[in-house]
Amino acid sequence: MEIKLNALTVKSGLKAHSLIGLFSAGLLYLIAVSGSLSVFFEEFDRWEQPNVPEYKIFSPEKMKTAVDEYINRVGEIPKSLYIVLPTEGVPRTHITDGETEWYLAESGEFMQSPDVPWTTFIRELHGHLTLSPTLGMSIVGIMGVLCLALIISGVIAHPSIFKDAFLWRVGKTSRVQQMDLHNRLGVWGLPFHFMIAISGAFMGFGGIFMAITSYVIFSGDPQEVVDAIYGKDPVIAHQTLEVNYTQAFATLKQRQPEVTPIYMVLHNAGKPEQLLEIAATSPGRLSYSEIYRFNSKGEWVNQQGLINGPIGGQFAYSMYRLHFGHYHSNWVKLLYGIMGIAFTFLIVSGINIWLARRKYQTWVNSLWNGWVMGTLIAFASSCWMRFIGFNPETVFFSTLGATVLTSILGKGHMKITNAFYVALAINILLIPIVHAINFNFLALDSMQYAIYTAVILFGIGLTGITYKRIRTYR
Amino acid sequence: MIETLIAIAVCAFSVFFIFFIWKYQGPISLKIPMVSITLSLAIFTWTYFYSWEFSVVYALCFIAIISWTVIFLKRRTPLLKDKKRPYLKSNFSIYVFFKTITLSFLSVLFAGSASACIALSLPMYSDFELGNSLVSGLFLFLLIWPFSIVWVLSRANLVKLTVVSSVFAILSVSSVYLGTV
Repeated sequence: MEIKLNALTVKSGLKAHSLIGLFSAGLLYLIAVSGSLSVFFEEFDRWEQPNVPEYKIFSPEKMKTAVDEYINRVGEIPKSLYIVLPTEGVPRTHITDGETEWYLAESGEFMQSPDVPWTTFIRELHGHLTLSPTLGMSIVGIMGVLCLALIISGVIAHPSIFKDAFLWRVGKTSRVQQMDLHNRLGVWGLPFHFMIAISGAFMGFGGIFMAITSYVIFSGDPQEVVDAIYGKDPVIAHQTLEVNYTQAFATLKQRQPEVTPIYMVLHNAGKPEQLLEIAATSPGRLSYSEIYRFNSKGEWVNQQGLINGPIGGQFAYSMYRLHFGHYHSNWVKLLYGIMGIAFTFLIVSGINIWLARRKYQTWVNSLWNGWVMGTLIAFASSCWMRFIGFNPETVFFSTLGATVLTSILGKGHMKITNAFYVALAINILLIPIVHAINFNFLALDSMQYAIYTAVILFGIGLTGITYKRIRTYR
Repeated sequence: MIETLIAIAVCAFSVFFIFFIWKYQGPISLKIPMVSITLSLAIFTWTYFYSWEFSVVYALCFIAIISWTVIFLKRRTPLLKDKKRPYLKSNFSIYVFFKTITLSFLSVLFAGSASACIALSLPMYSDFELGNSLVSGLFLFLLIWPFSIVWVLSRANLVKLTVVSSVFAILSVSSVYLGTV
């Protein structure tokens, strides 16, 4: 049974699919691997810097002291000052104005500043390829659009989408095997891939769209677009300068007992127009948060309407959680991680099919092999080398460059691939060893153990695969 | 916990039911509604236990994962060895390379600018609340753009691409301009 499509349409679809795939696969792969890791950035944050006090509740009574101490330390009053509260994902509190940042102990005492260069690097690589945010996010946004184009052309190019729904021929040549793997992963994961691509493209293009729209429709100020979508901040004047945080949190608890505060922000601190906002997640909602506003006395002003305002604003504000799987429970992250790995396989198998279709091999085979294996080795090596003082970004790009060059210039395709497998297994196994030595075998909770277990199991599994591979392709 | 297990069980049931529909030799006009109903059942079950915003994602993710049990069980073995392919120095053509890159860039660029203009015209001509129009405009842009890329690349005629996209872009820019004055 096949869905009847014009043969020419199928051929054209396949042609577009191949072109877009070849054009975008390298960067898409990098974004997909870093994205699959980014899903767990909260856990990596905690794992990379384990010696930070963790607790479930930060009392509002401690906020005034913390804010005063922050202003005292920085020497100026920031325009907006955030206290990010402990959550299920990150049971830590930190205070920041977006530039300077410290963790806070449960008592309100200032602790160390965040020191998570590897996790930050992964997030930056996924978000803007470590380029300048505007340029990088635009490129990532374009990759999201190309991914959507790949999905559309893939469906057009696959008329036997239903007929082959459960087909996986491992008994044929590796091209057929890769093709079946690619098609099955693509078809069954299609809604997920579509959702990830469109939400990613939305976030990537959000800034540019605002800039363009602000010129075309408004007077050139992007803030006007933000106000049009999310609503304007209220203007409050003639207030007491002392902020009553306890009252604000009590008012929120009384008016919205079901919400969970995730951060508070004080705008224009110390000025008569100062405004206190508390962001809180609402049960059953994908929206990043709702923002509740209070005056200095802690009295209710209004809520921004991100969960009950215009549908456009609600939709836009839900994209982040939808893209990263940070909602409902930590199990969702695992689900996203698995689907992210499937997406990565989809990209690799797509190019593998194209390479296998050719009757010969060239440096392109080596380039792709070096890029795929090199990215994984680079992530692993940058992780453990970060703990001995190296910059993860430098290590990542040097390792990736070295593997790609080795793959292209080296002789003996199989030997080089085997060497890559060995390098990957060693680098993966070095991560928990170096981490444990660096932090004196300090493992705080089940999450830390879970990361150790996952990395060690992956390393052992990879060692087994490598051993088998070396024996087969000696 | 029990709710999640029930919902996962319904997803598993859906996958296996789809598998039986797939095996059944019947008309596609019957199979497609049956598959749709089965998928809807999984989504409704998740929605019954959790918020609808989460349940669509849950249902589709679990179905995607569970489907692999059937795919894995139905796989065909053993693996035959590939024919050894010769390793050639290179048949790299700078002309083909630049043609492909130019074509891809042009299609992305032209299709993108034309799509952006169409999408931007939505907030100008619609009577919706402005914020809603802007967000739907951006989503529309993100849907039109990939479709236009596929359309353009599947034809891959540089001249046709340039002409059609330019006309499209001029029309769209004019409509946006007319909308602002």
